[in-house]
Amino acid sequence: MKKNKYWLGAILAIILLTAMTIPTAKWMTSNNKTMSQRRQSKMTPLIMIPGSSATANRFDGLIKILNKTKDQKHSVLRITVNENNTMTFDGSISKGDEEPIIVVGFKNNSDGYTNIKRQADWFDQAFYQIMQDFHFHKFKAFGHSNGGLVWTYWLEHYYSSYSSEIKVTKLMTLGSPYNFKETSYTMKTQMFSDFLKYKKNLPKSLIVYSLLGGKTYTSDGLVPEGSVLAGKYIFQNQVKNYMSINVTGTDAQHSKLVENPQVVKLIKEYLLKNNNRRDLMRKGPRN
Amino acid sequence: MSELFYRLRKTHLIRIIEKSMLSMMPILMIGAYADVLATSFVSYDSWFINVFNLTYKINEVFEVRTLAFLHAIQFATTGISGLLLAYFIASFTAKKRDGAGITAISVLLMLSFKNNLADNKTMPFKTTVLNYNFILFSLVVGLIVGYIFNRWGTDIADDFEERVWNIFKPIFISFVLAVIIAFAILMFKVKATNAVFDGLIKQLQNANDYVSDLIWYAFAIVLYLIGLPYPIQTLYSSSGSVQEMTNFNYALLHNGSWKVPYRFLGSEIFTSYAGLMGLVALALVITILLFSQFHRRRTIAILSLFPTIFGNPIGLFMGIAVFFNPVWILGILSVSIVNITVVTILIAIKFIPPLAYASLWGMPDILSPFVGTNGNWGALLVTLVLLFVDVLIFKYWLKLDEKILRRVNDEEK
Repeated sequence: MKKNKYWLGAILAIILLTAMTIPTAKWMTSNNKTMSQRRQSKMTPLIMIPGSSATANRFDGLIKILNKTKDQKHSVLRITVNENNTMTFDGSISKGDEEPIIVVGFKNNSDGYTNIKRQADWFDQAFYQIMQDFHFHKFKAFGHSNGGLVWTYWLEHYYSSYSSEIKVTKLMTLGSPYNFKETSYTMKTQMFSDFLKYKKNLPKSLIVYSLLGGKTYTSDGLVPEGSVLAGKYIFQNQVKNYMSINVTGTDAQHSKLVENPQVVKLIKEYLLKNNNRRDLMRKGPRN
Repeated sequence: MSELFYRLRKTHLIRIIEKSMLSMMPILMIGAYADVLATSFVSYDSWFINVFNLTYKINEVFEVRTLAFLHAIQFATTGISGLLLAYFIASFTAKKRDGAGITAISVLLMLSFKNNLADNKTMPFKTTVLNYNFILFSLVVGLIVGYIFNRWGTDIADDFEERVWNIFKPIFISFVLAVIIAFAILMFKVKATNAVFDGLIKQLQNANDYVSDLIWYAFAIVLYLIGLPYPIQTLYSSSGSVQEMTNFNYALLHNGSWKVPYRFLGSEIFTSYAGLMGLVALALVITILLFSQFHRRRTIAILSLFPTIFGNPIGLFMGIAVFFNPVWILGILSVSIVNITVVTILIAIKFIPPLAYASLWGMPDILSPFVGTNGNWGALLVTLVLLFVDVLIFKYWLKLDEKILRRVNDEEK
C-alpha cells in the first residue's frame, strides 16, 4: 500500500508538470513571436525628447524640414506623458515606414534635477509602451536641452532592462547642460556627479554626438559651453564614440538651435539613413 | 567494486562528511524553498509571474519587499553553507573538544576576506567562498581546525573556566595559521576562481561537439560532486554565452532552430537534458521516492520534490550525501553521459531541433527543452523518456548505495 502511495505521488508529479506545459507553451508562443517580429523588424525609429517648458510639438518645425526630401517622409507619433503615467497620443506611424519619428513630451515640463529624474521615469513608461506596440530592435535618440539629460539619466538607470532585446545605436544631444549653469566641470552639480557615478551603465556600443550652440564665445545665450562640454567626462572612453560639435551662425541661440540649418544637416548626416548615398550607389559611380 | 566503496564509505573522514551534510540539510532545505519562491514565483522576471501574466496584478512594493525577505532567508541559509560545513566538519572531527566549530567559522571568514579593501560598500567577504561554490575549501578548513583541536586541545573539563582556557591554545594556533594564509592571499592577490576556473567555464561554453561536450561536462560534474560546484553554478546563473546568443538570434531571424550555427552546444544540451540541478536531480528524487528502503530518505525526497522541480536540489544533495560519494559520482555521471549521448544522436538525425530559444528564470527544468526549441513536442517527449531511463539507471546505483549504507550502519551499531 505504501509503495502504491509513492507511485501515485510520482505519477501526480508528472501530470502536474505536463499541466504546467500548457500555460508555458502559451507564453512561449506569444513571446517568441514578438521577439521574432522585433528581431526581423527593419524599423529603426528616431525617438526625440524636447527640453524643459516644451511640449511634444516642439520638433514640428524640425520634422517639417527633415521631411522636405524627395523620397523619404518620416511619419510622426507624438506622445505626452501625464504625471499619473497616463499618455496622450497624437499622430501615427505609417505602415512600412522604416524610420518613423517618435516625440515624447511631458505634461510636467518644468526644469530642475528632481524633475529630470521624474521625466526619465515617465519616459520609461512611454518607451515600454512603444516597444510593446512597435516591434523594433534598434532605435536612435535625440534630445534637445534637458531632453538630452533625460536621455542620459534613462540610459544609465533604465536602459539595461531592455538592452538584451533593443539596442540604442546613436544619441545626439543638442545644447544639453550636463553641469547645469556651471561653466567649469570642477564645480560639480549633484546631477553631474550622479551622471559620472553611473556612467558605467551606459551602453558600450553607443555613438554619441553632443552639439553645442555658439551664440557667444562661451555660451548659446542660455547654456554655458563648459556645461555642454562636461558631457565628455560622462561619455568619453565609456561609449564607442563621442563627438562634440560646435554650431555657430545666425540660429545658434539655445532655443533656435533646433531648426538651425547646420543642426538639420548633422541630424540627416549622422542620425537618419543617408538616402543621397544610397541613390549614388544605385546609380553607380560617376565617371 | 562494492567492497571498495564499502571500505571507503566506512572511513572516519567520509562518515564525518556525511554527518555534517545531513546536519546542514534542514537549514539548506529552507534556503532552497526561499530560493525557489523568489526565483520562480515572486520576482517580476519569474516563470510564474510571466506565464500567468501577473506582472500588473502584483504590487511593486509587495514584490520588492517579499523578494528582500526571501533573499534574507536565502543568504542566512544556502548563502552561508560553506561556513556551516566548516563548522560541522570541525565539530565532528574534534567531537570531544569545545570551540572547534566556531573557530572554523572565524578561520574561513578570515580566508574569504576580499582582496579589494577599497570596496567598502559591499560585504567584505567573498560570497562564493561562504556559499557552497567551494565547499571543498570549507571541508579542508574544517578538517584542519578539527585536527588542531584534537592535537593541541584537551577533552571537555567539568570546570567552566578550565574549559575556556583549554581551548585557548588550539584557537591561537588556528588563528596564526589562518592569518598567515590570509596575509599571503591578500599580498599575492590570489584569485583562485579567475585563474583556475574561468578557463574551464569558457571550455564549457565553447564545447560544441559530442566529444568536447562529454569530456568537459563529465569533468565539471566530477568537480561539482567533489565539492567544487563553482563552474556548473556559474553556467546556470550566467545570462548566455556568445554562442547561445548567436543561436538565439539565428532562430529569431529564421523562425526556427534547426539550422543554428552551434547545433551541439554543450551548455544548452547539459543544462536542459542532463542538468545536475534539473532533469538529473528530478530523476534522483523520483528514484528515491519509488525505490528507497530508508524511510528518512523518502521523507527527504518528498521535501525536496518541490524545490527540485524548480531547479534547486541542494536539500536533497545534502540529505542523501551525494557529495564525495563515489557511488553517486558514478551514478550521476552515467545518467548525464547517457542523456548527452542520446540527445546528440537525436539532434544529429534531426529528430529534435537544437536548443536556441530563451527560457524564463525559475522555469521547471523539465520544460526547458520544450521551451528552448520553441515548443517542439518531440523535445518534450524525449525529456520524459530520458526521465524514465534515468530513473531506471539510478535504481541500480541507489540499491548499491543503500546496500553499502546498511552494512556501515549495522557495523556502527
